[in-house]
Amino acid sequence: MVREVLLDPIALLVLAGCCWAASGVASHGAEAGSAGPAVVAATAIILLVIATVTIADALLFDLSENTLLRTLPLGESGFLELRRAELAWWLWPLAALAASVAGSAAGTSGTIAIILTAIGCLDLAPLIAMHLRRAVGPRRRMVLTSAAVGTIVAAALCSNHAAEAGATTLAPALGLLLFGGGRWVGRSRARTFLRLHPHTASQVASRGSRANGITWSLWSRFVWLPSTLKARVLRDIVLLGRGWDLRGAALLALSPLSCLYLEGSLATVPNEAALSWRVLQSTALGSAVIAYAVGPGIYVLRSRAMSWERIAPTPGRNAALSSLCYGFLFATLHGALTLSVVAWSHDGSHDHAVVSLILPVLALEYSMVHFAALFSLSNGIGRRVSGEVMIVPSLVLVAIVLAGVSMLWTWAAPLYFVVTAGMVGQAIAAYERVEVTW
Amino acid sequence: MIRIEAVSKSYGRVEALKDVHLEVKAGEVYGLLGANGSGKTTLNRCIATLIRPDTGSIEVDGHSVTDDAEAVRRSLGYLSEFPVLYPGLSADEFLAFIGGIRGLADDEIKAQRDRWITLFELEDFRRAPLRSFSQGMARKIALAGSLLADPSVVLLDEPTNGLDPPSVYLFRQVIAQLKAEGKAVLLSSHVLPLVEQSCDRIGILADGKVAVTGKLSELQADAGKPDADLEELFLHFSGLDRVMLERLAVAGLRGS
Repeated sequence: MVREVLLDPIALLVLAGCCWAASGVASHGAEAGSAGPAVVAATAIILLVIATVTIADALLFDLSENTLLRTLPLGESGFLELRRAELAWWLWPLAALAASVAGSAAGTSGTIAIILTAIGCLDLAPLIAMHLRRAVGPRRRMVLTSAAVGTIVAAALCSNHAAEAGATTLAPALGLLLFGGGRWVGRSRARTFLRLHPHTASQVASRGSRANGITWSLWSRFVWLPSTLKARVLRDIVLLGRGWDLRGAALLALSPLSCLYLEGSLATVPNEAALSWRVLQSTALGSAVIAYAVGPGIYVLRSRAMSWERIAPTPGRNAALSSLCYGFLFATLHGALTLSVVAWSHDGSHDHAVVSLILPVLALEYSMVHFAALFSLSNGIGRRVSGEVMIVPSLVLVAIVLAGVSMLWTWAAPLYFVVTAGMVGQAIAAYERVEVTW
Repeated sequence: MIRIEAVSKSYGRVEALKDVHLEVKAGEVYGLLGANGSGKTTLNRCIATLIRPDTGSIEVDGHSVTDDAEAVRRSLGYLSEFPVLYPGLSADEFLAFIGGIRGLADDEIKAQRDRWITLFELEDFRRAPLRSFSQGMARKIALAGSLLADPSVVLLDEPTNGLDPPSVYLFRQVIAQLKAEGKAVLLSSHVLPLVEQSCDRIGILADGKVAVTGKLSELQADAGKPDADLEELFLHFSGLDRVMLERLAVAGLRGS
């Protein structure tokens, strides 16, 4: 199955496209004044390790076929070898992607570092996955997501302090360390695995008795909405907090990066128009990420259990309104963060502009979320690939038009909601018309 | 309470329902039998407003499912054959979610939730994530969810899948209580003893049509087999008795 997926010509084409795009971004990021080659290469290495651990965890514990495999006369070491071979297949496209990033940023030394890391990860990842399971249990997804997001944020924060000279030594040293660690661990791998895996696998099978993380009752005190909306918004928040919408969680966690970009770009602002444009640019970047997280991301999760909502009163209207409430929550937070950066960065030199920016910033934030949430409902994203493909260029177009309008005619920005009033009706009708056969 | 007239539904070239007529009155439990793929689930989904019939009309509590779906939804409880629950929520949270989207007040949700969780002996698991539930436990939560808002019309599609014998007994008592409260219950099941014990009338769907409907004694009279049990009647009216014998003969076996 793995080979069929990974050797599929379309998959290879997509991988090549991703590598090309990633290398372009990486070489830009590695330029002087940006993140620097060492930081980019190190980020690629750490993200590769995190991704490999995630896959190893799924292969060792999450797949339903494990129940059958563990009844076969493979033994624990045979099971590990089987999964390790499978992990190698899943690892190579990730390694290719990481190599294109590290290679573009740090040249040959970056590529070599990734190759060493990938080889080391084959031995290390299963053990890290197993220890992570034992240590944090169901919270491991949040730990891994947080580690990935933290790595990216740290790389962004290091952007102005990175030393270019470290590229030729830091990345290969890190790769060599992981390679050596992996080889060293490889010797004791089978023994450790034999000892720990049966117990960990049994723990997984026995499952937890309490839902982890934030609780419904706690959040219900802070959400003041009618019960039909409150229940839906609480569901989204709780599932997000428990790591069931990992893509959404990662995107939401990355959205403040736009404020880092803004903070840097406000260092030299020639005039008020340039200030407004840079703030709106940053807002559009952040709100597009939030819009994607609260639009198609969470919609896929919701639609699995859609039949319960569809037989409840006014399903379309409630689905649309609750999606907007959920999205507006994050849009408001991001908008407030953006405005606070304008107010307090560079010793408050731009604080006089904050009041005039409130309307365009919030209008842009809410418009993007509004568009993505209703687009997702209208196009049945998650059930139709075309919807997910269409939303990305649509969001970019909406962001550019809205930022332009907000820049030229600030008062006109809220008119977006008047112009797109029909979208609400379309989304409601589409939601109520879809035939739920799952 | 449920009136179905001349309903047809196709998925592409496949005709799932063909000119179906059926009625379930208030205070009646109607058993719907049919082989796999006979159209039971499609009929349930049409009544539950999840899909629209191509032709014909369905009324629930006097409201059309196509023209007044909103009113239908307010009086309906539906347990699907494969109910999907949110695995990341606990039993308490899932029922709070269902109560919330049905517009129940917080204290009402709490009272109903406690009632069903106690009945199904799930007190020790009410805070456990639903992903850790067995099939039977998940079905109990789904059943509780479908009855939480006290609906007047209840659709139950294979409700006892995965339930242990004590739970099936409990479930039969729940159906009896629903009947006593004057609710209309449409029960689709392959568990013939359950249908025989719980249902006032029985309909047999075969190839998308209602082949026969009536009380058990009426079905026996129609078939000309006064002593036949429900299994025999089911095979007879769905035209499967001859097919089964032919298949057994091909396999070198003899039917009893």
